[in-house]
Amino acid sequence: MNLIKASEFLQFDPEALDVYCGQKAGDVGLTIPNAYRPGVLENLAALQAHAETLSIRLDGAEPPPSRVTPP
Amino acid sequence: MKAGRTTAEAVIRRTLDDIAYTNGALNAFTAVFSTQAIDQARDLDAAIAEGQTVGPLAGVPFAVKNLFDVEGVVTLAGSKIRRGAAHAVRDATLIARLKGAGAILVGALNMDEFAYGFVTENAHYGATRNPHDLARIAGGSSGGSAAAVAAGVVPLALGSDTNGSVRVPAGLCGVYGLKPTAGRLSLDGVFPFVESLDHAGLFARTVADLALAYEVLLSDPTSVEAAPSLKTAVLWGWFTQGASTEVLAALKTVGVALNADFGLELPGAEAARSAAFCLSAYEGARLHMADLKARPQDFDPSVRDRLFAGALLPDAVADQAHRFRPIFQQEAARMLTRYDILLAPVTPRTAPRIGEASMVIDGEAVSVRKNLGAYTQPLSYIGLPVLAAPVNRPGQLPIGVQIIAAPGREDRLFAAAAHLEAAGVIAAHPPKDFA
Repeated sequence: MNLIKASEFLQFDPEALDVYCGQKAGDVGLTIPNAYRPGVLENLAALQAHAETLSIRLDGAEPPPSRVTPP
Repeated sequence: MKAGRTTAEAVIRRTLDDIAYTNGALNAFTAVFSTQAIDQARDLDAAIAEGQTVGPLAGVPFAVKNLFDVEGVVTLAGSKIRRGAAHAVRDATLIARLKGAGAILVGALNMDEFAYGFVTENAHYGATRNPHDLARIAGGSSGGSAAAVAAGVVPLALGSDTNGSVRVPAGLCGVYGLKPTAGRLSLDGVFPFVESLDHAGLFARTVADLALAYEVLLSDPTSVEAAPSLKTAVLWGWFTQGASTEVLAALKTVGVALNADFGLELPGAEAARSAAFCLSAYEGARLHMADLKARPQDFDPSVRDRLFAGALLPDAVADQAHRFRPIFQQEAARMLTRYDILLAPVTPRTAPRIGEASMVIDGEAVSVRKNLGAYTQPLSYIGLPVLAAPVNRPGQLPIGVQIIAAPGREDRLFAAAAHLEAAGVIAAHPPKDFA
């Protein structure tokens, strides 16, 4: 099982997120058809942005002003 | 009815006619229970004729979001996947309570698939249209419920609210919507979405109707005394970022009417919204994992992609989302010891057009589907009771305001709403095409 820390997930650039998507899908037994993959990655990136907002708050720092409305 | 001026059967037949007349335009109902409703109405008329005591909602037609179990009916939850599920063996507890008070169930209502959305543009059952402008969405995920009440087809409907699914459609359709304190209304017989966030809720066109129905659902007396002395604050910061000028003007009108303090920020609201966003995807994906593996093609594409993404979210992020909840609860509790009522907009803007994928907030194009609930998600995340009220704007697209109180203080919500309604500040107007 591919267990990662929240902080590691936040570091992924789009290319790394794509790789992670494939690995994690395999770990949980999901097959994501190629036709669905762009939509899934877009939503995973949105979750990554929200996870970052949450993480920043939990670490006690104020969110960056640029992230007023996550995608 | 008790005076003999009309009968339950006449009321129900008129309601069924209204459904038939309006549903082509609205697409609010996905099932109509004509035979059962007329049978129940006849039984009620017979009971009245025999002088039996009837309940406080005797003969009141109501409808439910199609994720509530109705005996003998498949609970679709807005999906194609559940079409082959077994028929429900009994009514959901809340339906049973309304029926026990004499109300008559006339149909089931459209929604976003598996309650995952704010738009009710359902790939399988079509979009529910806003009665105030048929080119616009009704909001979601309880869009059918809000549209049916707003159009005057039924005076009462049930819905569910995980991230804003009662409040967003209530706000966009110009009716009252109540999401009580978490756990206050039974979820027995309600198809789940996110166990840690799900609430049941209800819609009506007046504060008194909303309070009466809530009293029945809760089996507990509810105060609707107008109390203008409630200490009130208007939430600023996250809850007004990106709001349109007309939404801010509507919020100000309501705040002034309650002599509110303006400009208070609820620290952590943005992170609370993000936590709710992550939990919805994470828990929703786990609920539907078997179908994501076996038949992903049968999901609504917009829901499927979000559930797939949720299935890939690290457990550690979900842990953080749970861990932040007591922190944010403390922030809200601090504010709610200083104020009886908090106010915030329901949505950043009026109802988008059907098919409108993005909207502009603070000069940036963002997804309609993901951002209509930006102001509602932080509040359901910590289970606060919220009453979405329609600002009195006759002839214009509806704008809703969230009236918020401390857990268990629904009485304050009704008191504030009754005061605002009596003062003419909030009101549900019949749409011109359905007046």
